[in-house]
Amino acid sequence: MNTKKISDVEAFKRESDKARNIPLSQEDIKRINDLAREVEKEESENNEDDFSIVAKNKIDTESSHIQG
Amino acid sequence: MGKVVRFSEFDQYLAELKASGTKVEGTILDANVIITLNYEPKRFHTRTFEFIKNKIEKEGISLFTTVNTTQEYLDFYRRLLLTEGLRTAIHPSSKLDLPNKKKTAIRAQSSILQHRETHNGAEPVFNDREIKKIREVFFNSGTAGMRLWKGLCELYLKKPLEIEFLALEKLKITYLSMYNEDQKEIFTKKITWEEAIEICSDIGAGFSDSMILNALQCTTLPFAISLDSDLAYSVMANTNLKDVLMPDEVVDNIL
Repeated sequence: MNTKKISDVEAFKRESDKARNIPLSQEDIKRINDLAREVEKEESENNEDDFSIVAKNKIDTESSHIQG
Repeated sequence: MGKVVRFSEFDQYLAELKASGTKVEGTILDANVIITLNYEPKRFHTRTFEFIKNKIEKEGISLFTTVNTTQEYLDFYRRLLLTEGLRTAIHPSSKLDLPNKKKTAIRAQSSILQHRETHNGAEPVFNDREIKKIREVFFNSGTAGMRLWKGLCELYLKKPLEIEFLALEKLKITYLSMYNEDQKEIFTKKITWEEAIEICSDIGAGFSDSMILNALQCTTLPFAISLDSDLAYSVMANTNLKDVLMPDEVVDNIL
């Protein structure tokens, strides 16, 4: 080998520990919470759609019973 | 003839190697050694850390590894960082306010993991299946769910994994490569898949371990360091293989 490289295991651990201790910034928190609200909004809209389909089916069924 | 050597036997082992005229330029590290070096909850963390610091570094022995090792190392940290991030995100003190359904999905998988930790002494790290189950619940919420999951991954993985990758540089690990001019001196023959298959077929060792033993055979490096019984059993079953060094307790459990 042309160049001998010797490890620095303490520096390795020190650097690695930094990766697990990054604090969340206010921007991070806002970004994730905004995305979370979008999910809730989309889910509640889908639920409303589901309700209206159920309600429509129920009305259709009832009216077919009356007609029958 | 290859043998399994305890950490505590290293001084005498090294003296014998040197006395026999063997050059000890470097050693090959298994991925589990690298992970154990910087993750304290891992069994044998302290012993492995001190062995590398006080023996390998002190003797000026260089560290080598195969490319697979980095993949294994980063994949462990992917699972660890996601576990810690997602568990923190659903903690009552968290400033993140995830939708209830998502919190429930994370909590469910976290409970399974907690059970494994308590009853089997497992490390606090989601397995791939658990991560997949949580991700599925996010993706079930359409584009918005996917964007939220992507946001969490960026938050918990991108920068931390970049730091983990850079931290590896401090170990000054050299990736074994037959095509690197700087390493020509340590290669004695070509690394082939056929020989790795032969080593794997001996005792059914994992391929990552078989590749380490195979690479070792193709170089002048006299030993590898591992915490995995696959390497120990391979060496015990095949006298043509080179040596593997392990913490005393691992060897005691095997022999």
